[in-house]
Amino acid sequence: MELTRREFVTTLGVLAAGLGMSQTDLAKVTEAFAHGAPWNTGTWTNKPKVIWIHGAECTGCSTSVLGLYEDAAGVAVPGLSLKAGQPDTTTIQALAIVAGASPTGLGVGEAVAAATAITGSHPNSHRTLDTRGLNVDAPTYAVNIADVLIDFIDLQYHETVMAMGGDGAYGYLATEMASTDTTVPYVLVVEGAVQAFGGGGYWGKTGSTGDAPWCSIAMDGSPDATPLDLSFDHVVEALASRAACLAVVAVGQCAAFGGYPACIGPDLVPKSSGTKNQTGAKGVYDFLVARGQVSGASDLVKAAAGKVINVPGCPVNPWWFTLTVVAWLVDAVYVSTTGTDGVLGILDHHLAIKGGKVDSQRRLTAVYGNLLHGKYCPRYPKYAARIFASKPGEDGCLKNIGCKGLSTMSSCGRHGWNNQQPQNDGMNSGTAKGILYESTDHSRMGGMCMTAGAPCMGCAEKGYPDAFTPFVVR
Amino acid sequence: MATTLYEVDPISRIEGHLGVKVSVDSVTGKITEANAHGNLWRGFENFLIGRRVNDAITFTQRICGVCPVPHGLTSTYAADSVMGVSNGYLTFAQVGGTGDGVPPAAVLVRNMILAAEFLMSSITHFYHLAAQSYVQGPAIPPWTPFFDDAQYHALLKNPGGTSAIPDMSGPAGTPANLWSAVILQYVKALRIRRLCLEAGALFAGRMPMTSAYIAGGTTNFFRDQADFDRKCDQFRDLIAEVGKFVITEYIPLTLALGALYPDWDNTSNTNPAAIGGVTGMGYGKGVGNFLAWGGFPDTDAAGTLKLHGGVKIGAGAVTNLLVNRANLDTAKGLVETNLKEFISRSRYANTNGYSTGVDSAYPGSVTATEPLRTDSSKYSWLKAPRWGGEPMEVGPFARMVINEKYPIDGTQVIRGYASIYTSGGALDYTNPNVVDANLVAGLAHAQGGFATNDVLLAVKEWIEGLKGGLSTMDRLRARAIESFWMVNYLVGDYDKTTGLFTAGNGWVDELQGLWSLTDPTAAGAPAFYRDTTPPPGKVSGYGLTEAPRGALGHFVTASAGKIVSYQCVVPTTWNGSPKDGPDGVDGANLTPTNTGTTRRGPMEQSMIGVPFSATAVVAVPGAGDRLSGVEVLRVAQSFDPCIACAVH
Repeated sequence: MELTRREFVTTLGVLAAGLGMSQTDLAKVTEAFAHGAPWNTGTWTNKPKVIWIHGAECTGCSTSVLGLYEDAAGVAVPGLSLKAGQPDTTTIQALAIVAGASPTGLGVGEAVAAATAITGSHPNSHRTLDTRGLNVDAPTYAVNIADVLIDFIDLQYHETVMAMGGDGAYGYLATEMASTDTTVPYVLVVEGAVQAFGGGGYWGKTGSTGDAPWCSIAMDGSPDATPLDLSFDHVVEALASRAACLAVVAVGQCAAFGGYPACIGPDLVPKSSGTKNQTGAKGVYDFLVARGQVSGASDLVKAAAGKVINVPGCPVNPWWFTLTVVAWLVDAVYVSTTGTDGVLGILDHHLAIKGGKVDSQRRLTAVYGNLLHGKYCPRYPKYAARIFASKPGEDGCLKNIGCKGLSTMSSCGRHGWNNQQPQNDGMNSGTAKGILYESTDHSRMGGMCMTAGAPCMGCAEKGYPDAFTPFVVR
Repeated sequence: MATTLYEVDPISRIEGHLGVKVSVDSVTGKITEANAHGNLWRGFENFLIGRRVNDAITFTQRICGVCPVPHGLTSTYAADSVMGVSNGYLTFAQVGGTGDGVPPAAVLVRNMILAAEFLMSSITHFYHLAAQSYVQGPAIPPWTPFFDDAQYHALLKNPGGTSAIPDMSGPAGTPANLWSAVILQYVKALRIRRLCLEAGALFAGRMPMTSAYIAGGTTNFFRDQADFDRKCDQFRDLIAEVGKFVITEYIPLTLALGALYPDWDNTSNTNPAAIGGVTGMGYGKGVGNFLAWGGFPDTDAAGTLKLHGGVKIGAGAVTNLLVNRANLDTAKGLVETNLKEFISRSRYANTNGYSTGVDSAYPGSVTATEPLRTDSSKYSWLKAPRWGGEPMEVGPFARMVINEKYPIDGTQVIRGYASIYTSGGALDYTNPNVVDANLVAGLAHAQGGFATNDVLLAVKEWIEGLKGGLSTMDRLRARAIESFWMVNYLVGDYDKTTGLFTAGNGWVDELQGLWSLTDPTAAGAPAFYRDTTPPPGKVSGYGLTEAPRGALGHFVTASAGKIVSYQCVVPTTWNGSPKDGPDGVDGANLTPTNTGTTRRGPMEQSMIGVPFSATAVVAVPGAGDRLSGVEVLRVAQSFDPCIACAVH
């Protein structure tokens, strides 16, 4: 099965529409994909190659992303209008518009018909299956993680899902790290913080001396050989600084800013490392900046930090990740085919991240551009009415028991977690000023910390967790 | 005996960074020694010191993102114990609204979120992690390159090694062969695992990391009864779909897998003639010692645990740990006497409660974790927990054995999950015809309309005769059967004729019944939280319960609600532990043979006697290449190891 470029672009377009891309711009991107660049080589010529590596991490972000699901009924971006007077653009409507349906008067029924006309030609249709293994989503288009894995990316390395292990995996990484090939571009996804190099003391390796590394991610199959083992920091540096690496996506709080491994213990006992950050853990951007400043660093290493885009969260919300990657891809294709700055304003004409659509924490503003506190929080009506919870399990705004929504830029309230919509939650009473609406759709209640009565913990912000404790004031 | 050393690192399709160094006998080709090493250290136990006890509930969930919820709950139990809510181990429901414990609704919500996580974890483990070591995937990354073709059963090989998508040319678009059916199962299970997360999130706020756990109960609040009922109903609907999948597809598939891989099954199972009459080799059988702390307390006055805690060493009988509220003190006494963590081969210094020459300590008396990276005789970041000096296997297999829901004495497996159906007129798994009917129905689903082909009939015969024992396959089967119990606890009995869960005897039904019958407003809600005040002075406590991967413990000392010390003893720390003594170095591999006092960890022990086929190293793996190492992956993956948990 070969996914056509058109189908690929269609799916990208669904999400690109959420970024406010015009039809004209989208047409340019579609045209660019149709003609190939930059994914024009490699085994799977029409899918972006992705290498996903794990360092000082917990696999929570992978676990979360594996739960990706965006269906027709899912509100892509509440408040974003593709049509005058219509507050919310659903995924299916965006898809239909990308497919060429007229945005004027486009209802869900018409949108579904337009989308079905496209997906009907998909060789396997889509992959949310009923109990017999048949597709149940054909009439109501949905993007799920199976589609992404099979159709949209060429995920060559990901420890948790790939078949290969042991020697094969070691060989893959070692080869990619040493390669100078520039013809097969790839996106590097990093999950987990990067810890300081340990010195290479691998137990049982001939000639191996020095401290054991904090994080080693692969070893040569023959333990008697000269150590060529792969400590995580080396892998990140090597893969991020290859010319073929077009982007470094730091997924989750740890990869973005250091997160938990970089914690400073308030009463930390003295460590052998002599530093309060016990293992010297850093976010990928800070790590690459530091490597670029080392005397004698090559131009490629110096350029590596400029490729980093952050998608923080603990864990990341699958939608934040997908939207960010898709937006980047759209710009990358546009840049590489037109030679001008990206149409979404994320990349300049050298493929470097630029301001505007990306904030000072290198996060996409479309995802991280709004304060959590506000009309999308289901407890905001209580805030407006000055009703505050004094302990867990109570009604009211959670500000006084530790909620960090006032200092967290995240779209949890606009687009919930786990295929749920906070605005549908019963907590959203809709009686106070500033409330978008009181939903009458009770089908997907929940979807954020506050709907369970838990205060926001600030997990999308730089400085989390140290700067945001105590999480609950008791 | 000449041996060759091989390193298999990374062990992929697990959580975290694990490698295994194996010595392989040059004549027999079998593994004679194994050293399992965890390769990442982050320092959680240290940076928790000085923080608030309740914050540890959020922090420790970041130890592992695959199984955060059990860390959250164990940490909550530990917090309960030092915040004056409970007496430690785990937290029961308050009786009559007074005394130790938390409100019954909180006990139920805590259980429900954790059980949803168990289901997600077990289904993900089988379909998305372990399965690819038995089934070739589509011929595209991330499923390529494959392992050696000889390692797969012919029916589970990718046709021609080139198919990127399943063949759906069967009747009415169904799979044309077993391989295609299994690949579709992989995709379908992606949906099912997602539904588990969605169900948990209804009460947890979001998953995988839950937000609702707190010392004293949970944070839940509902506007009115209608709001509460909707969430309960949605939870029931989601778990019902998961449950049907577990019963009709997941369990049959795991029961059948051994028929195609008999070497990896226990020595009591012999394949029917149709498949070749091969008797199981018991590869991966392990130490045969089992430990469970127990978990999932009911809200009854006795505080009965759904899954009992217990210890079983070798052929000995089960010694009870926590079973109900009444034996709490006895169970705690046993824990405090028998539990020790060893660091002889672990990269930690003999300080903070450890001392030179002893190399072991009760985790509750360890004050911090000091890394030691310069000692080249220490090969893993995992510590080595032992029970009375013995390495113990923990996990679904251990839980099912201890709770007598899975036999390991060579008797029939079906017996193991028959008992709940013997009353009430629901399913009766003791009737062989009913067993057939249900398993065939399940397999028919799994194979998309192959109910009458020879393969299925042969597998049916295999399943009926299946016996429990010690092996890699037993571990996979026990996990599936435990999933059945989780569904049963959550949404009650399954009605085989309707395919529905309508008995109304699950936790979600009990929870829903707690809302006042006379007051549908928020005032009629059950309590989810009781406020806590940390007792004065320094107090120590601990939480012990079950994670999907096995027995999990958090040990805390706190002063005025602030953490003074915090230690975690985690399932994979047990299963993946390195050796516990100083003796026996054979070349670059450790052997425990010299004095008899050094023991392998359970996973290391499971590798012994397993064949290892080394093929030429592939420098640049491509789609057409075939790789080695799958035998070590199979054994390691059967434990569902989580190294981020094991080393924290």
